[in-house]
Amino acid sequence: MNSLWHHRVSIITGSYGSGKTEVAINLSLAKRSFYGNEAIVSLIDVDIVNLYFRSRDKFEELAKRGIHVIAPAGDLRHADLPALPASISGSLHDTQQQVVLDVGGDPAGATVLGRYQADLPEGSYDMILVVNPYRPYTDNVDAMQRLISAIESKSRLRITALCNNSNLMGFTTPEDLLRGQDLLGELEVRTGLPTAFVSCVPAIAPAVSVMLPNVPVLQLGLYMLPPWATGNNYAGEV
Amino acid sequence: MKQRVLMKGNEAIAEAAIRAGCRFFFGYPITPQNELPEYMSRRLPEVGGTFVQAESEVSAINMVYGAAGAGARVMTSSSSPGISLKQEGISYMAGAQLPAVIVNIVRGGPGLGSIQPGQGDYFQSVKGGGHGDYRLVVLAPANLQEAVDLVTEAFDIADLYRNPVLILGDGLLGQMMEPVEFRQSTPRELPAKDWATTGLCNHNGQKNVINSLVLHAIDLEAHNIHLQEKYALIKVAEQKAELLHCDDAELVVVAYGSTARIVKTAIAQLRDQGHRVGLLRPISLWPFPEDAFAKVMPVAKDFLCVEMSAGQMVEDVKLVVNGARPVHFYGRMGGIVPTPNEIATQVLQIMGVK
Amino acid sequence: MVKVFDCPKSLTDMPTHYCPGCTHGIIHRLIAEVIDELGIADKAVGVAPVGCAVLAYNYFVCDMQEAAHGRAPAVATGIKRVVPEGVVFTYQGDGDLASIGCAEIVHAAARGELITTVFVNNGIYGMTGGQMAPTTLPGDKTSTSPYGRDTKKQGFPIRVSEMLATLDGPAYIARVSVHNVANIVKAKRAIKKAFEYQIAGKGFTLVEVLSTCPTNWGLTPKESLEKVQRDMMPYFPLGDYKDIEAGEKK
Ligand SMILES: Cc1ncc(C[n+]2csc(CCOP(=O)(O)OP(=O)(O)O)c2C)c(N)n1
Ligand code: SF4
Ligand SMILES: [Mg+2]
Repeated sequence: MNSLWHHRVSIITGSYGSGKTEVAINLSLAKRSFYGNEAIVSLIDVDIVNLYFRSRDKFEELAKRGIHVIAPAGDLRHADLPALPASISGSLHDTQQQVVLDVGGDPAGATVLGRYQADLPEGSYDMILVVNPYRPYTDNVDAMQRLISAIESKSRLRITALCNNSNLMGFTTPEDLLRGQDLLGELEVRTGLPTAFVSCVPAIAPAVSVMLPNVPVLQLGLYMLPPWATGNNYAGEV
Repeated sequence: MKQRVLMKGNEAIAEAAIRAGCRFFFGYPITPQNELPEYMSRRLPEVGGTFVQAESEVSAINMVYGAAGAGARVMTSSSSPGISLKQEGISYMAGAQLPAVIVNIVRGGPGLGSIQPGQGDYFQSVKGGGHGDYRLVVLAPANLQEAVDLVTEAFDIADLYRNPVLILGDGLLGQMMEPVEFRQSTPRELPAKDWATTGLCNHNGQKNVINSLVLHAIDLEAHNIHLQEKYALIKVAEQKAELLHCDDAELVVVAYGSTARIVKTAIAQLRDQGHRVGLLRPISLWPFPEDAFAKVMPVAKDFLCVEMSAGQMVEDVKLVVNGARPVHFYGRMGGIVPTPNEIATQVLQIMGVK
Repeated sequence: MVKVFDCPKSLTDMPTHYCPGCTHGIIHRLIAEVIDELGIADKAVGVAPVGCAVLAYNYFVCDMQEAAHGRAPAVATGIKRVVPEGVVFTYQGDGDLASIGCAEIVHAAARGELITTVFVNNGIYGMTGGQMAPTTLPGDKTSTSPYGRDTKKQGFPIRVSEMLATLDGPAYIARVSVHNVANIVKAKRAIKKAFEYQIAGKGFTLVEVLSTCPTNWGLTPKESLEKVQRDMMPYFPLGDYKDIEAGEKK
């Protein structure tokens, strides 16, 4: 397999605004490049709580890069209606497909997973909790632990690993990820969940690898950029 | 951990309100502002505050009326269709001179429109969406740090002048994420709310009445004159604008909110190519920043107003420029956000014509 | 000599604007007496409606807010949440409460908002010139039902007390009348109980008072009182519709 995943199905969950969608998109691309052009990689957008900055907004761009985005069809892509497509179950069962699920934030966003519980037997998936300690309500280990139980109870699935996505967008430094990892280390001890990988933009990835030599790095090409951003830059300034 | 927190626009506005002492929030769900009431419902009980999900926007704004009349710092938020419903209450609040902060995270219209960002509510916000001769102070942040800072400012302005203040955002601002810092602002000196209806025992037995009804024409005119005098003071004291590269700018782009950020990217490109282009970004939409226009007039040869609407603020730009310079317009509608390239093309066309 | 009749302290000495023979004035007086007896004038905040009672803020000696048409329960909610130790009441007509403000009253009741509503049901829009109200009786002529209210076209009156009593939020809901002395005494008892329940934090309380509008009914004050008893009371029976201390229904 690969150090970033253990199973065919990767479920990306976490608190609201933790960076799940960027992680999900980049993990899909990593799967695609690992398994080669023949592989079918489906990115399933089941984010029914968020409205802007969703995987489905990058449908065409990702299709060109060999990612099959499954999301509500046509006009419904732009609606605030759940409108889950019927093909989701099919993808979850198709053993030929690599699947990444981009789930909505918080327990509220994870609730929809409960509907697919029968399609996701324990041991058949990775469920990764994306954590950004610079977000309110996940800035300490107690809060992270509460989030884990709440997401598990709503989704009726088990979280299997953590992703350290510590970031302040364009202002992120390698030290921010290091500080984040301190908290995740404590969370690992309390929950027994391993950190599957850290995620960061390519510019700081080498420094992060040096600081955190034991954790794989998922490099993030940024897709969810605001309209004024240029290239891979959030244009943090105004 | 750093002081900075990564927040979504809607959350940042909510947290800023709490830090500004707002302890009461009344709202009704509508996309794309739902994170704001959701955050309030989670956070207010932690600080001893009160969150009520009202049965409609009509009720929500009237709860705000009651709470403001009882002297509280209070907020409500909504998006375009919901703000239309609040207009009745807003007019009553302006009439009864009640301070409160109202947030509009604008979406595409008219009607149900879409959930994508828009700026089509400019007229409604600055020209009075409700009935009667009244003004709202309208503040339009362009980034989340500014949104956070303006929320505190909004509560202070509301209390100082006894007038509702509207924060005019758009879906993009509400939904985007950015690091913000909640910093201490220099507090203004604010008058005591000795007019609040908290019960006679709380203000020495003198009876307080919150009311917008004035039966005699003479009295109502006097009341209106008082309001107009107040608005005149606000017009002098509360104009806010940002000027970028305007010192030598032959063409000044005028844009507010999210659109102004896109304009900035366009201007950076144009400046790199040696074009003398600047940005005038109104932050207070009412009072309209006339003083800032006076500053750029000596050098500017043309104005280009860019909006996510069919052209609303451009009317105010024309009023200020008053025929002295050509005022051009470029707009996208229906939730389409203009790109930096589109804007740059417009600028070059105008500059090339001369 | 002992004074047996005096103006309640909680009423200002300003003469009210109500038409002669209109029972709005009696209802004001009952509220003021209750406020006096409970000694709550210094913490009461009233909310006036839009309707004939729009100027009620002039008559009560306590803090008052004037609400937009129908919105008094929402305004009262805002006040009560800010001043929980206050005693907050709304005074609303049938057009105000049962038509344009139907959502506000239902939801304030459903939330169990700790306020007291005095609902003045005169079966007509008094202020605007005698138009049909949601409580206008079938067959009654008004300026917008000139042929008499035809239930096929104009629907049926709303029985507000019965409707709200189905909710779990209210602690006390009663319908009373002020067409004679015995009923005035009962009406005052009900209003007092409603305020007491609010103060004790028991829940939302509402007293519906059948009232007259001689001016727009086109009847003498005496005929008006008779109409309340003869026509209104059969359609709108008096009694307690909810009293959480006494169990459901009378
Ligand atoms: C939004 C709005 N619509 C209509 C009116 C006009 N209006 C004033 S009072 C009233 C009806 C009052 O009837 P009711 O509530 O029964 O009170 P009454 O005068 O009978 O005591 C109406 C329709 C208004 N003031 N505001
Ligand atoms: S119009 Fe009717 S309800 Fe209004 S004051 Fe006169 S009699 Fe009373
Ligand atoms: Mg009436």
